[in-house]
Amino acid sequence: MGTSHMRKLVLTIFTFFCTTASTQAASTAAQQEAPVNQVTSRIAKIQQQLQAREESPKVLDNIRVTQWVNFPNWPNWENWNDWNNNWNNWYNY
Amino acid sequence: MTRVRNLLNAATTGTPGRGDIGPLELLVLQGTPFCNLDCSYCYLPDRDDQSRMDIAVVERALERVLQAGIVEREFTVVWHAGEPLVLGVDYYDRAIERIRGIVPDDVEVSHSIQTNGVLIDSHWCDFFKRHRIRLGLSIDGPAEIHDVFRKTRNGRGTHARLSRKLELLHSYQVPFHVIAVLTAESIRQPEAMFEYFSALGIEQLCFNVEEIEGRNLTSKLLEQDRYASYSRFLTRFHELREQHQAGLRIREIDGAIEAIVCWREQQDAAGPRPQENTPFKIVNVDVSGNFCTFSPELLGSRHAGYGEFQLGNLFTTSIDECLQDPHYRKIAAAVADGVKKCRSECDYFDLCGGGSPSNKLAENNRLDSSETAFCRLQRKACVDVALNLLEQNLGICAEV
Repeated sequence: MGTSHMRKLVLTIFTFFCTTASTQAASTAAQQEAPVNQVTSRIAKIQQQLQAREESPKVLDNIRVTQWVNFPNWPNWENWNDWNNNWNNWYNY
Repeated sequence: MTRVRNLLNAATTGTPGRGDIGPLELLVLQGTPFCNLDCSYCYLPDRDDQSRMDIAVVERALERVLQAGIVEREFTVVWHAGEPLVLGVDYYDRAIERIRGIVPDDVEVSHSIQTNGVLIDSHWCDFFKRHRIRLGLSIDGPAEIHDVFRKTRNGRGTHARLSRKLELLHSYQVPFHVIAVLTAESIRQPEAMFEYFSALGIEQLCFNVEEIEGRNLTSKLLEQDRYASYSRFLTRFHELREQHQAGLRIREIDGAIEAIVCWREQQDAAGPRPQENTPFKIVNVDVSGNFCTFSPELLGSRHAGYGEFQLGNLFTTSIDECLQDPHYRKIAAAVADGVKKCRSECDYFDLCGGGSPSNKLAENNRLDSSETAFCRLQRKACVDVALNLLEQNLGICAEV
């Protein structure tokens, strides 16, 4: 391997490390900058716990859930499809 | 997919196109602006006006929404005003019959009435059952709370009269839900409120916070932003419900729990599409056939920047014509910009979908705005209470 080849190889390796380092730095900076959505991260944890349970907890006794909610472990889970189940519907009717 | 694509386009341009509208979920018909009561927190401006919606307006409203292609499999007609029952049973029998005659057989139409209940009698009970009306009663709580605001035109409380009507509804086995307007006074008394409502024999209770809207220019609840005391009220109400094993569904708590349980990460790039800020999911029609979309409270109001919120009259303007109108496009673009702002600023967006245009206008004086005191109470406090309850129930420690 000649000197010029050696120089090229060193340059390539150096460029690779620089690029990787700068990409990682940019990604870390982006992660630091992107604010964590506190609400959805709490929801994700709750859903994880719900999926793992064999029965629906008491706090869900009065809720109506659309058919696409699927917690497969829960026995006797009644699927409601009530037209009023969207709490975002206009409030005064 | 087309709808999603159009929504994405709308999010970029800020101006909704033809594909973003509907489908129709609520047709709000204001049969009369008149109300037999004079509640001191009412936002309606014309409640002395005794004019009645002609059946021809009802017919034209149905023709217009069908013609516009925004009707899918089902929608609800909300008889709203004013006090709907002042029009009498015969009026609604005729109107409902006409609606049945116009709407195709494969479209399901439900009817909903929200009433102060004072005029209910046996004829009304028969009517509610005959047409399977979704009935809501406006009751603020026990007499000492209810009668503070909900008064007759002579200034007398209405609770005693209303209580007799509730007995009548029960004797006819007419199901109904209750909407209670919460005030600064009532949220201090969760025990009294629970004791009263749990004994009413209803399936669902809905709490509306007293809003600053239309003619109601002040609300102690919103002005002082009682997030903490409202959250305590909801939490205590839920505790009492559990202690007494009352099956009563509370829309603000159970609705928020449903939204949490149903939430899916990035389920739709466009996010939720609530009725109040999606064009023509709600069509509001006044007694003369003037119409608007978005929040029903906007109908009949005007603003220095946006002008009148009515978009035309059903007898002279079709919904398709209205969609091309720069006036509509200006309002729709401002509502869309408001939703966009909510999406970028608010952690609760996935569960809320961008708030209520009428509250943004009333509180922030612009549609292209985001947070209101109304949404801090009616959305954020409810979600926070529901999150706390779920975490407690599931043994999750909240990271603060």
